[in-house]
Amino acid sequence: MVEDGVLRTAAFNEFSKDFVMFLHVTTMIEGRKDDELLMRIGGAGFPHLVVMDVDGSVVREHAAAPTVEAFKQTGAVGTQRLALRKKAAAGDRDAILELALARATAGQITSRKLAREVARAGELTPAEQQRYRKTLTTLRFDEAKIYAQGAWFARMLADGLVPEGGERQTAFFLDILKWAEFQEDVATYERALKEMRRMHGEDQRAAEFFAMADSKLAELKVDAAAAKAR
Amino acid sequence: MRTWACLLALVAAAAAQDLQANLDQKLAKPFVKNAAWITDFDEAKRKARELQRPIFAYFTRSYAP
Repeated sequence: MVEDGVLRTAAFNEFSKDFVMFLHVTTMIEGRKDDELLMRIGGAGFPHLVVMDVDGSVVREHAAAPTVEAFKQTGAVGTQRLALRKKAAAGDRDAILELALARATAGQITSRKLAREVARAGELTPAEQQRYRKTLTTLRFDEAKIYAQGAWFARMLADGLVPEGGERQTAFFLDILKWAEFQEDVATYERALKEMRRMHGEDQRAAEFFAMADSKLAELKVDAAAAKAR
Repeated sequence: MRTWACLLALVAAAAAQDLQANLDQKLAKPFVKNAAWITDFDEAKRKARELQRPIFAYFTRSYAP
């Protein structure tokens, strides 16, 4: 087990100095903050090791053997991503493009955001155009599967058709929330969130869900205001 | 009926205590002292932004061996 092995070595201690070290323990304690984080980042099974960007998005899962040498290789991907992020923030068009494609490939941004980021990079060379279209195609294909139900439900809601029963309504509004987030549709997101709060607002176990949803709503509003200003 | 409710509440409280004890045991393991582990996700992200370093994350569990 890594806890009695590699994580206790001097080499690991040395390796750790180049990173912010985050230890997550799934406890099953009800209501504990971020207890289901592993599930949220798409992990299954223990132990699970990943390198993350400064915003907490997964850059690379450690799939190799649990050795310090292998950790260094996984960690290097995170360091490269950070360098790319800095260059992109400074306006480097190649970095903007690379970062957008990398984040899209990892499913961290939607096709809409990808298109906006790529537009910031300016005119693309034929080779870049080809890479962009390939990434976009995969992303749009995946999105079609993920959001199809939400899109359907959102149309039902617009037609005033809301299913009865707690379980059905929860599934209905959850899918609409996902769809509205993808569509960056503030009004629909707000409406679906209001309905979710009506049903589950008093449930302490849902507190984290609502905190995340409120934060997402605030983010959508900021994006919408920025889009209006453009 | 009320007795059953009280018993269930006691069982739930005992289970919660066990889970907390399991977590405490996990965090007392020697590997935890071998690096500057942060156990709060928001704090880890804040620190990563401040130091401009990537996050290396280790996910484990305390509810089972």
